[in-house]
Amino acid sequence: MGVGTIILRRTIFLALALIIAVFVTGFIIGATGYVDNVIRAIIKEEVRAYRSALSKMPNVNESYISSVVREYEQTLVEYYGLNKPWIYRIIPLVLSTLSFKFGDVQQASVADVAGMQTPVKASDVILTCLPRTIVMVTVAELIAISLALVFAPRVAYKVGSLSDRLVVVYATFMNAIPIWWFALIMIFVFGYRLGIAPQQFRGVISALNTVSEALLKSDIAKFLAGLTAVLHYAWLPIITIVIVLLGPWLYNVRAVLLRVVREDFVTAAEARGLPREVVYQRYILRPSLSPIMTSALLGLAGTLGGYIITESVFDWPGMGTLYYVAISSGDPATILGLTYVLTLVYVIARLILEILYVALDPRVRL
Amino acid sequence: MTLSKGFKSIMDTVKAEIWSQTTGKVALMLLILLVALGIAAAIMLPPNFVQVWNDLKPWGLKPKNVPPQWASIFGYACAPHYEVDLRGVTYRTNITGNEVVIRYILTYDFIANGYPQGIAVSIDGFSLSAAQSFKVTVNIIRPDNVKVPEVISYLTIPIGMNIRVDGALLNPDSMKLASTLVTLYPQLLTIANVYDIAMKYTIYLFSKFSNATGILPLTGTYKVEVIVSAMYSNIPTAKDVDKLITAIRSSNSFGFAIIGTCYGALGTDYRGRDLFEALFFGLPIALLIGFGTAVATTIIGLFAGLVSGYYGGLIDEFIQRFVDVLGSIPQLPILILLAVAIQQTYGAHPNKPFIMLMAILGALIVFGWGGLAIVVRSMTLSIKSEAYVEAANVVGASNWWIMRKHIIPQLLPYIAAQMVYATPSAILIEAGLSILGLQHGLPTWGGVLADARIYGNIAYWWWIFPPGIAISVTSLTFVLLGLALERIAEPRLRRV
Repeated sequence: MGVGTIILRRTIFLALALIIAVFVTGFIIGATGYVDNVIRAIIKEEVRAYRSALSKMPNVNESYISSVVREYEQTLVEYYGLNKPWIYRIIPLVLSTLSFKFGDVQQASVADVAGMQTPVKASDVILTCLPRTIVMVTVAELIAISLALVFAPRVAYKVGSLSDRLVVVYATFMNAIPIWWFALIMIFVFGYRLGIAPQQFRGVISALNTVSEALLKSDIAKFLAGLTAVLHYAWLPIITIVIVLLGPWLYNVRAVLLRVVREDFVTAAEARGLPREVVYQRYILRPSLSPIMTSALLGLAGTLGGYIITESVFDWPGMGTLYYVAISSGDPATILGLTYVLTLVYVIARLILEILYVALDPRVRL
Repeated sequence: MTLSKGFKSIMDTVKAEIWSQTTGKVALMLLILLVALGIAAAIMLPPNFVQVWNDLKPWGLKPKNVPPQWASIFGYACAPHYEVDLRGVTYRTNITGNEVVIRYILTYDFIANGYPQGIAVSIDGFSLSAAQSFKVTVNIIRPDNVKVPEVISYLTIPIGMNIRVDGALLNPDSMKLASTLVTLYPQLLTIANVYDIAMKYTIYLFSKFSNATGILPLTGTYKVEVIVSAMYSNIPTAKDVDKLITAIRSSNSFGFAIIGTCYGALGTDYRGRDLFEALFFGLPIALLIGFGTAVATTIIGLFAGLVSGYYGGLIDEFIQRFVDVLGSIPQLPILILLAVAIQQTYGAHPNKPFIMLMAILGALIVFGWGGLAIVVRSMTLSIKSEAYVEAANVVGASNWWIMRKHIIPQLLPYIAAQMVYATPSAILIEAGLSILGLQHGLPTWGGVLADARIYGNIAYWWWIFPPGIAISVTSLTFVLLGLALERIAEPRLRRV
């Protein structure tokens, strides 16, 4: 098989996986019937409001009101599609989501996460929340990865030294601690006891708005002020995530490097008396690059979905919180849209990796 | 190979390979401790614990939102909690006029390490027939021999034929108590006004006062008189006395408490529930979720990988693509979706905790086996082409025999590693779901943390630290075990 065929084959399978993921989500939403309950509640509320509005009008008799209200209820049931089985509602929604025509947000609480009002497209809500997750989770993951790439090689050269053992112990502990619990502790210590961090994080919305407005007007002073405001909210979540993620990252990069350091060709290069820098860059770094890149790229792609639990602990209005609010309040358009976008990002990351493997590792081309 | 022999060889490997490492030693000791505690908790678990935990009534007398007893070491003003179950203490009875009177005398030693939160009597499931009224009075005789009458007084009359008292938590009428105190100690008014006294009645009830020094704690023995009486229409007989005593004895709760500001080994939550109980009885549930997921994912992953690698062809392609699809589906959102759907559909169902737990377990298992299947497949592929496997094939060994004798033994470190890694991740995900408010109703560590966030506003350290530490220590045990196993599977990682 040629390189092109391999990549094409993978593309087809990944695209299939993507479509199946969205369908599975749609089926779970539909088959469990919980969205129906939510819609029924909405209809009931609207009908009640309609009836009370009618009965306030003078000179309308009771039977007339009842018949009009019944008609109105019927229109609503048809509008929301409750008169048909769930398949008829979910399948078109899944298909239109797959073709990037996201549906409307139905729940006020979902729009509220984005700081919007209800007649709004799911895509707008998602695009509004994305930058908030990037400034917190993605930035934190990037910092953790960079720190690991700087420090892990120093440790990997001296296996068994004190600093190496410290790294292993640190990584072990951070592997065991759930990020969201650590987040609770950080809020408790820095937010409540020391009082140097905010206790509420929703303020980041207006801070980010200031930044984007300043960018549009290229107003540097305002931009810096907005950035400071964003940092005021973001520093605690970022530090929390970096502290916890750095452990596993250090450990993984160290493990990858260790495997390569013990290879015969490295020993041979050292025996030839090549300078350490050359050995590191030419003989160690290159073969280590592909596994490290894999986890880095997949990790970064994963951050775009936000950390649902950690964001929810910080009450950070990002993708994770949006996902959670959409699920708990039963908003099919947003749930499907998020599932689609996030799986798409993941699938694209996988594809980029496949292509990069071919480019970086000549062995694959054989 | 017989079963006992197989077990022995596993134990030998564990001893030689894991016990010989420091991390392995620590991990094994922690594991034994956790399993022992888990079994102990499972045995000691009261059959109705879940109902009791979710029920408001029985927790009425316990102090709310208070730190553990040992907080006093760190300078926290810890008034100990004093609670008496009146169903089991000695009493004196007598009949005065038309009234049967039962008198309990309790003694309370006040050591002045902080003032108590309050005073309360709790009565639940009490039922008495034929009486005209039922009365509970608490008098307190202070160490200075002054009797404070009617600190608590409660009177009720029958509805129909019966007097029933359910879920009652009797507290002092603080304004009345304040005026009683002012009558007894007129000098009090120069120190504080009546409203202050009523607001913080425990301070004044357990203090001595003088114009020169103000309020100082009055240490010593306080006598508490709890008087339970019932009025009848005629002169009561010995039978009526017995009836009242039986009514008290057969109630669900009949207790008196001077509510402290510290409680138990781990403090209490917003409803006065003992957090230690939640953590202790949460352990077997956590272990069950962890082990259940780990065992199931390991078995499925092992067999899927074996079949995929050994037989190859279409079935291999199918299993691998299935793993691919599973790997691309975001796991946590699907889990949350399932949990929310079950919460909505079975919210009021009596078996909801069980259904939800099983659904979460099921989803964790479905998503958990893919990684092992890939590793097992690639290992099987390379082992399959070895000469000894071909030899076994030629002499007519069955496929299953070859897998059992030649392939599975070589996969053991990976199988063990899968079990070790799947256990904590299942525990963490389950706890994470609880934090989001998706609780199955069993008291779990995540559930306690979720309450700490919602009802405790992250403000109480004894409520956030212990559950997280419990989760972390459990997960640390398995991470350490994984490290030890990793060194067996990958000898190059061994320390040189």
